[in-house]
Amino acid sequence: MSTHWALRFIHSLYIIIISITASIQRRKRRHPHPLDVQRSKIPKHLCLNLVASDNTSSEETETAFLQCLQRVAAWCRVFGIETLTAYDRDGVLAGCSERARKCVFAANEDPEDSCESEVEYPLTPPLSEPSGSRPQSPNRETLPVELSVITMESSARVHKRRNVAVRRRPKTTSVSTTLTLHLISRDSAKPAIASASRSLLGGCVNSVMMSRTTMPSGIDYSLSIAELGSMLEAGLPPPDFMIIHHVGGMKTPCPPLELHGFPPWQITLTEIHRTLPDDSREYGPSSSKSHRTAALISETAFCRALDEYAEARFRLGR
Amino acid sequence: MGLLALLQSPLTYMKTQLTHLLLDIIATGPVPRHIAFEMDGNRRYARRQGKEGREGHGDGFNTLLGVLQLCLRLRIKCVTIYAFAIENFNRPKEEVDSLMKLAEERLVEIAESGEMLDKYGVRLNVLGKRDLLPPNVQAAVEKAESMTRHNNSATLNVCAPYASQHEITTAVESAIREAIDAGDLDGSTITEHTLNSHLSTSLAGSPPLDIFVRTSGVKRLSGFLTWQCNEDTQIHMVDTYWPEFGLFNLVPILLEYQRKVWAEERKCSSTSQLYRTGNEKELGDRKEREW
Repeated sequence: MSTHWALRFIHSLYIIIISITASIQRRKRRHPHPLDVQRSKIPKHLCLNLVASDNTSSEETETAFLQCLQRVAAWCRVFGIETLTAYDRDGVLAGCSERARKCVFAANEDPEDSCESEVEYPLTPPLSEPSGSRPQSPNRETLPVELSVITMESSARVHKRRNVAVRRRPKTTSVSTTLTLHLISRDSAKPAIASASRSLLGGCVNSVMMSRTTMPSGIDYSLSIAELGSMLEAGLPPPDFMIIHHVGGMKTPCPPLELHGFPPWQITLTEIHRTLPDDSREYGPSSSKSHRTAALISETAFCRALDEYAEARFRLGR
Repeated sequence: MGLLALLQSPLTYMKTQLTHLLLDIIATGPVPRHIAFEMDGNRRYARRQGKEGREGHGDGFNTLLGVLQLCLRLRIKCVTIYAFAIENFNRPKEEVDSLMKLAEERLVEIAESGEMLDKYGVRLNVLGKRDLLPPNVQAAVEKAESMTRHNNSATLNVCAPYASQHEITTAVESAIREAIDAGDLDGSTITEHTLNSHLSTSLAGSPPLDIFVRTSGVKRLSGFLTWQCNEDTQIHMVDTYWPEFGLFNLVPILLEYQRKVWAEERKCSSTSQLYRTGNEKELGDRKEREW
């Protein structure tokens, strides 16, 4: 009994210390560089890992996820990030992929920004089927793999107006920003690797059956990392950087981060960042008084994440 | 000098007793079944001390023994450490040779002295692509494993040389071979659970991974246990270099684990309460949010 109270005391002391430390860190924390400041290093492939909350309804979750996706896609275009993967464990975004496509590829420019740039979008691209991949294996045939990845691509020509003081008519330059969007869920993770395994087995069986009339026993099967990697990464290449964002907000002190089922093959060298609760003070509309409003990812949170990525050092085992 | 030693002796004794008391109190609450450490920062620690980078590995090993003792005192069933990555063979030859020599000496030392491992009944397993190791190190590995094979209270997995993609590939290969041998030609028996059972940690009898710790402030997994830690595992990226990691880094990690377990118990308890009181609307809303 006394050890039970002793443990409760230790936990209470821990919460007090952590809260004080968090408060001090909040005060000392620098504001991140703004969006328009160039960073020394930018990820080519960014992943947004969105985490739902128990306290928001499914409609609010879907709306919040779409709004976060729309914001991050727009910021990716500003930085020239070419590939964006949006992950949520339960496949909320994959389930509303048509809305996601419209959010990302058919959004209008903010009227306040129209004097700075004009973005012309081509016709909204068709939705791809949930992708499988047919790996290029020169030695044996393999069957299609169900990777559960929805991929969309678009390119936009961004016209930037540069105002020069001595000239009457401002000059324009244009930069092409292609954005590839992958929508994935837990089905793209361990189940996809299982699907790849079944496909490899099927291919092996087909190869052997084509050369023999019956299936021999004791086949010495071997698989290389390159072969399995080419199957899995054909549908979903590894992201350079992952931002984890909790749309339900997080209680302070913040719990340790988790990956919520993200594909284990592709995350080997991915730099991981989780948004801070203080940076996510923008809330979406709530449809119900009983449910907490969703916390959208803010520009501050995104900039802080990119600042952290720019400072990361990659030694690659050396 | 003698007076200093005399004074230090009771202080060390008191420090040890207080540490044991703290750990015993923490162990009255939920304790993780399996904790993994990516022991990063040995070289940077050594350079900060004005030494050669590779000299940090000796300090790192001493820290490992200390942390292992803390975990065993807490009755944590399984500890997995990332001792050497397959990619680490890219390091300068001098450093790789020095690491292999350290590995050979320490493996034999751990197994032969036996005090800690035998006291806590720890079985040592070395996981990874062992054929990449020099023959003398492979012999030391086999000796250390055979000397602790009879222990079954706890497990220490030493991943060396290891990479998650290699482990996953080996698991897939092994699952396919098993399906062929069983006559399952359409692969219906190959699921994520099948693959999980073919991972080296599962084959070593390790429970699911509850906590993953990486030291030195790096915010990547770098190919360590990516399958095992991708869900329901708390991940701690600690700024401290590994040789400086100790009790006061470990305690907050354990307390956070306990908070998670208690939060989940409260959630289960309130869901059961909803069933008992027949609060169908609230139950329906909660199920909708979960699924």
